[in-house]
Amino acid sequence: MKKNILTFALIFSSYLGFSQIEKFDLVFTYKVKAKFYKDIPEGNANENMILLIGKNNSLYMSPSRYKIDSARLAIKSRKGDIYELLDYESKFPDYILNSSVFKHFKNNKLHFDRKADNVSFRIEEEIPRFNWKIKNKFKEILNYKCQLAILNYKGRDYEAWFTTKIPLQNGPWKFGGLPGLIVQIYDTTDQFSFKLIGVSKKKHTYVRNKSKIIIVKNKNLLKSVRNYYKQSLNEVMDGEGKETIKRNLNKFFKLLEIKNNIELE
Amino acid sequence: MSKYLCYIFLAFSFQVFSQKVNIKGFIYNSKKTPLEGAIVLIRNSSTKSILQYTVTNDKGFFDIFIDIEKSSFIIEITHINYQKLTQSISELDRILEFTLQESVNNLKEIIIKSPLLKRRDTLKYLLSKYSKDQNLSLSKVLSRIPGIEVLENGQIQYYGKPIQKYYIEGLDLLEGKYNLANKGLAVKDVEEVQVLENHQPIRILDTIKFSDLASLNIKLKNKDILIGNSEIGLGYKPFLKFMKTLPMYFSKKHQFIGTLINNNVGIDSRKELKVLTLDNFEDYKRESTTNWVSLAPTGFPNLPQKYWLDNSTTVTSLNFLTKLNSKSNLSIKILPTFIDNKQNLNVVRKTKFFGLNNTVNLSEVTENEFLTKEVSTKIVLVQNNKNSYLKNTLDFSLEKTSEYGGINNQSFTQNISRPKEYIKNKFKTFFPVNKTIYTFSSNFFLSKNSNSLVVSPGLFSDLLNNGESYEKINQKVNNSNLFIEKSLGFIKRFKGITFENEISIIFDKQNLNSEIYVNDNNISNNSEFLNDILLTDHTIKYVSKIQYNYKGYRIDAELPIRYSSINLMNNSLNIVNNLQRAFFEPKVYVTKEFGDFFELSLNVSQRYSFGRLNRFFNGYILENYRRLLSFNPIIPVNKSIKGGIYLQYKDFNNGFFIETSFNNSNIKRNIAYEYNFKDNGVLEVNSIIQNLTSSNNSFSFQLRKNIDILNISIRLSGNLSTEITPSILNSNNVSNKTTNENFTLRFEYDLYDKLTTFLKSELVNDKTRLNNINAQAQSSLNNSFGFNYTLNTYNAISITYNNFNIKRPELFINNLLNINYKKTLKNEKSYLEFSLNNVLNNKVYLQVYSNEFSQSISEYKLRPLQILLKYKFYF
Repeated sequence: MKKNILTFALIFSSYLGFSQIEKFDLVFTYKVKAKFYKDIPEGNANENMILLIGKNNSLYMSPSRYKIDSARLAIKSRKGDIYELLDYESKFPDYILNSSVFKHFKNNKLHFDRKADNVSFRIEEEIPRFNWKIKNKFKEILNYKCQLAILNYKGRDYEAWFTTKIPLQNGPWKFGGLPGLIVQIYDTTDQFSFKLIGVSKKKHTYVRNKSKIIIVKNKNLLKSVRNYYKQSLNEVMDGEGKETIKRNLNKFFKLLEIKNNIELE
Repeated sequence: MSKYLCYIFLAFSFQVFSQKVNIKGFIYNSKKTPLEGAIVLIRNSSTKSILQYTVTNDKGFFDIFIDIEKSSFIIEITHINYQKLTQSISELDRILEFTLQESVNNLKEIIIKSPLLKRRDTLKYLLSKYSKDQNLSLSKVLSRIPGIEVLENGQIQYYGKPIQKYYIEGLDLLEGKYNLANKGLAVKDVEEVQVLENHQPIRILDTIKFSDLASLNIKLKNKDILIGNSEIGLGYKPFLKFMKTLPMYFSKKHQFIGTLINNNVGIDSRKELKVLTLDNFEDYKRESTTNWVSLAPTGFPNLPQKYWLDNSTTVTSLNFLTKLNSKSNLSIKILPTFIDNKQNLNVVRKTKFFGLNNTVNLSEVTENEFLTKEVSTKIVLVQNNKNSYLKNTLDFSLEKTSEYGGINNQSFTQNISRPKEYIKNKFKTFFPVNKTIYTFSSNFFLSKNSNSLVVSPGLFSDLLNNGESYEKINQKVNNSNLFIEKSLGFIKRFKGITFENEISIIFDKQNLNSEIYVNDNNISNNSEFLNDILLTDHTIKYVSKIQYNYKGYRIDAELPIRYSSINLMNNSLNIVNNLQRAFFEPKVYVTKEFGDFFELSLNVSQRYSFGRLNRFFNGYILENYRRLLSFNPIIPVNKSIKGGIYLQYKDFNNGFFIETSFNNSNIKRNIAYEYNFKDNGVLEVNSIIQNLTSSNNSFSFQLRKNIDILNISIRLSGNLSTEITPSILNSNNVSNKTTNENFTLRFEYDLYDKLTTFLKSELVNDKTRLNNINAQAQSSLNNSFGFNYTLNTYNAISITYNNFNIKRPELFINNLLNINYKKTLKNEKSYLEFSLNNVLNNKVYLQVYSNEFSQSISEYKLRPLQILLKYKFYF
């Protein structure tokens, strides 16, 4: 196994140059519901996200994206063609939650990556110190005795249920820092909710490819995404179609703007 | 005892001072290595509630402060891979040490059924959900479906890519001319729209060749039905009419869509029949028949047609489909079309020809009239199932064009008659051999083309009529072409490299006969005015395409090798010319990204071209009233070598982008062209055997900045190019150097999908030097403003304003303001639409052209202020 991983690593590192392999031992799957829009039901998310736990790291992302990204590398490493990947990609359902959270506990770093087309915009920050207040209230979720903790973070009040039976200071999205895994968390207006639905002990690796990453500041994220799409539009030849594409793109920007974000501040 | 006392003392002191207690220590595993990431919890020993917690660092160390009121508490240490350790602690005055025992991670797995691997083939949209208006056309509703856009020409795009097929009930009736159905069908007729993502229309390739394009399938509410709509429009001034009727019939075995359109409101209805799909496998581009004679060139204004097109167009298109065998999916389609188009174009054109010593000014007031009648039919037989694919398309067309051009109030008249006919057959099949799919295709093309130009009075009297002026000249040209191509190809992947191979055999035969009549006398007994040429070309071509990725470099190479045997038989001169040669025409493209910001790409290519028959006939041919051509009967071979470099910088954070490119090309010719300008602006073109090399260098840049808070984007772009072309002008060898500089500054302001505006300023400097002497210089400044406001589907306004300042060296100023307003009123079964065009009643539009020997300013007549009322109803 170790040998396998090593050869694997060698192939990738020689191939990509800028990549880094992350290893994970546990996978927790959360059902995530997010009301991003009042009037556009198809823009709201009701899908699964996975939290991969390693020794000193964790990665939270869409399982579709995880599989597609892994397939991309596998196909690349054996020098397969792009069609193979697109074909593979087409087998997965579309996902709305297209950002990922990578935590590196050794140096206390958090990478928030938002995917746009085929690049990712990254916000680098410190793992937040959450000001949890643990309450003496308990309930059972998935046969785990869970305890309530409350939090106010970036403009929203949250209720989180964690279990000391799973001794991990982690949770979905950026959340974590309780003396046990967060099994369920939701904001008090019920616009965002995360609930554990699956646990797996299968080992995973993920190659974080740095070549398509654009590092941005938090306040610049939306602006950067907009600039990216505007630039793509600029590459479209002038013609009668451009105006229509532009109008549609502007519609999309409007959606971005009226989107109900989890972080209000 | 002392220990006990100590405890009491400690407990007492806590209670008294209620101070912060510090608990710290190390946690190890059984091998005495520090344990990182263990959670340390302090609980109240009686209530078991959590007082404080922390996590160990890489040295296994923890450090906790507690506001403590009670003396007894429990320490609980957990780690995902170790057994839990719980202990009451009372010793607070020293550094604690714990050892955890390893354990098998006994975390219970909870398996969730994977929602993945569900193929997202078909997305279905119930159309009634997208529009309450039952009579709104499908093309207007489609753009409300996520991912779908309908462009102005009617093309449907799905996430920015044109759709591949437009099916109605699973049948591709229209062969890509889907504008007819898309504008004809209304919400009330359609049950649902299905988007077939990643759709491979050729079923045998379904698992082999991936398609990233989508197709649409329209499901009708009623499976056996006759539906349609009609439109009638009237307007002023002059009398405007618009008429359109569109009946459709659909059943399980048969489909029919027909249309009849007639209008004189400035709409080229032939566009309704445009093929809007990109069909890779039918990418059979064959230069359609050459126009040997034409009216003196005027160009067309660079404005939307509705502002200037003076037309009267009638279009009829009938489209039938019948399923012959449902089992094998065999069907036949018959698609006849009739076109009758009349168009007028009035232009005042001032041209300046610059020679070495003198400049010739030519002023032309042109009144052109174009008449085209065309009958064409397409018969398609297609079988498409999992085991086989074959498609045969037979196409034939008869076209009759007549053109009339009057110059300077009938000082000259030009009359053209140009009947053309062609028959075209395309056959394509796919078949599997082992795991490789082979393709075989066969193309056949036969055309006949007769051209006649009558000019009265005739020019070139020195050459044609011993210097005496004469009343009439008639140029007759007959041209035929037979083209046959057979090709066999396959796709294979080997060690990470994708190879695409195709071998073709081509046979091309062209005939050219021409004669000149002066005052009805055939002067072509003189071989100078006669052409009788047979050109044959036998070519065998092998094309291999390679695609390869290596360490972040993407390499695309196309390596075609061809061997051609070209034979030029000139019967009028009794000359035979041969060219037998192999040609290698590689094309290589390499691209690489550096870091987050830079992308660099390079391209190099080499190509040979022979020029077509219209570049090597020897007898004179009068192309238009003032242009007479003849060439050396030698096969021209042009070799061009091109190279380019492209660099891009993208900073998304700040919305700042730079693009630059530099291109160089060199063309080596074995033929030089000789231009002889006469004082009255007439031109004779000949060719001479002489090796010449022309070169072109160009540099372009673009800077863009998006100012997000203001919703504004600013773009500055520029283009600098120099072209050096040696040629022969009035029997002198000249080196012609053309420099062009072009700078554009553009502001854009958008308010989502309601409003788009732009403000643009363009500065152009053109300069031509003949043998290092300035021949001409001109500069122009064009300012324009555009405003589009769409309130909703039924109300829209658009405004464009253009201001031209041309200096050459006298100054010309031209202003053009156009307002277009459209309002639609609707009731249950009908619509009423009101539109105003050219509200300010601008008369003319000015445009500048220049080439290596001339420069011209054209003044185009515009359609005046016009009102149009249109009534549309469904049946």
